[in-house]
Amino acid sequence: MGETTTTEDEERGRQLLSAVERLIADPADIERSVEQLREKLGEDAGRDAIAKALTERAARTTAVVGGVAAAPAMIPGFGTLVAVTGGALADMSLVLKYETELAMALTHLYGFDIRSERGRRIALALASVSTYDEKSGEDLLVDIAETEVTAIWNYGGRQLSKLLLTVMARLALIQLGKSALRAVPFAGMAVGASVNRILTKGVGDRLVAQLEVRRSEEDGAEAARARGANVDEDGVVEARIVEDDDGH
Amino acid sequence: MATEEGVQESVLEALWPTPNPSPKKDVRCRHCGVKNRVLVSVAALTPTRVRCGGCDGALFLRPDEPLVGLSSDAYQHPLDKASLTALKTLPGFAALVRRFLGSFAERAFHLHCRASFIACDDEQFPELYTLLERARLALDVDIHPRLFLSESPNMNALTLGAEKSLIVVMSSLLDQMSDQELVFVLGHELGHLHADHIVYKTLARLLVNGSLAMSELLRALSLPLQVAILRWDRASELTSDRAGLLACRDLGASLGASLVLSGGRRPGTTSRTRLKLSAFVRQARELRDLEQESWWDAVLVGQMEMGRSHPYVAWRVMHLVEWVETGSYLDLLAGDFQGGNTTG
Repeated sequence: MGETTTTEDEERGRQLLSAVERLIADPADIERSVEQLREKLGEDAGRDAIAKALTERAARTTAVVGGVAAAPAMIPGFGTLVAVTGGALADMSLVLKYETELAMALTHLYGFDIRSERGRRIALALASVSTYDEKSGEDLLVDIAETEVTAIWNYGGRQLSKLLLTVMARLALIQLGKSALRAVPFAGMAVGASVNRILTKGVGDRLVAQLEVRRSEEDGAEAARARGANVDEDGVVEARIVEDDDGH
Repeated sequence: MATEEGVQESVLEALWPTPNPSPKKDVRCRHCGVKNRVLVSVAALTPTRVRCGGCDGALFLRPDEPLVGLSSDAYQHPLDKASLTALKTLPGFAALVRRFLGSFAERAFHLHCRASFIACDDEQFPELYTLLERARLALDVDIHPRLFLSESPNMNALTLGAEKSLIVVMSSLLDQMSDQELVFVLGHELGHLHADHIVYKTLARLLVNGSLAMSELLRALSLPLQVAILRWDRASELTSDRAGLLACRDLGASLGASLVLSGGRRPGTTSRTRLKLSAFVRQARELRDLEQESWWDAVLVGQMEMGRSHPYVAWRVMHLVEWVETGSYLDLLAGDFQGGNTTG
């Protein structure tokens, strides 16, 4: 890994993970809200339109969270301290809650399971990795030597837990490092709201792109199986090598 | 020049000599979406032979098919990306350098090129211009740089111009490189334009050259910035090597161009021997191993490289091979600009 984390960072990451996991809504409620939105937008609304509406709704919510988390800075001194430390981490916990719920909603929209514990943790991993990448401008999976984002779906339980702890520790670290602006009365609230809104929109776009890829892989594997191709349990087939026109 | 088959055998021998088989990689089919496992050697050297095991469609684009909609993000080297992102956060800096370049340095250099070199287009030296067009179309780059030929014994090509771009090819390259190798070089230069390197490369030049006129104190104070920007400058070459490979889609030619840049292909050499790619790649691997095994060697190499604008050729070769084996090269050739790891 490119960057080492200290025990303190790891502990902070563990706390963040446990806070977010406690806050996530029930999968059945999330599924219901997607279906309600589908109904509201009408039959003509495609998957893209529903995904966009889901992302927009989550972005509005996290914008409110960002503004409220910076509100203590209105009280000079103690409030400033709360805004840059506790406020920043509370903000990240709530942002991750809503982004994980967005990831779960989108995952359901693209036809994948979110009811199981594993499905929920995959959604959390997708949301947190996307949040980290969007916030840092880096590529966490490249950094931890993973080749493809869709590899997360094939992670075992232990790998998934390790990834979640890594990304949470890093998120906690950058969140605290970038919290100085929250200490400015009024401006801190505006900045917090706008940063969160842009962040969640970016995360939503990343999630949709990843789910599109995953969906096409699943559909492709299913169609290949139907054609009698030898598809392995990871959904991979052996490519066929043919002769060139010149016989090679 | 060796036959195409001979070049392929030479690349096979250089990169994946028996009994070390080439690694395998999973590549997504653009027709049906299923992931295909394929030997990197077969895919990289003979992509037209590979068909999807799910739908039987051609897994890779034909060598003459453009990479439509390709963004430089898709092939940008992570070292380049990280540093460039940091440089781009300097507020107003890019606009300032662009302004300076547009009204002074760039204008002066355009005049200098028109005054001293041969402007190439579809009338003057169309053969060279066609190679540039081939690279441009392959990368689907919507930038039309002016092309100049300069008489020079130095094996080099350079790109300039944040507003109106130009590429200068030194005539020595034409003496010693095949058309495919030239497409690699021209694709490399286009990569600098595509990835928006020019503004920051100019800053690197200004800092390094400007520091010579500075007082000792100022020079010492600006040293960390110089070191950082030169490190990025070298990393940007790795991105552009990838663009060169994507432009020519010929691993043999890409490695061959590096071989020529290192040892030349002058009559004195070619009349006596034929330089072997396999031995050259082995040499590059030995250097990598030395750096990995001995921290002192790594420090020495790092120290020697610090003031250079380009990375050592052997290092570039290893990075390019690594990208082909484990990075996104084959994903891009399969028309998958998003699904694979787009930056690794």
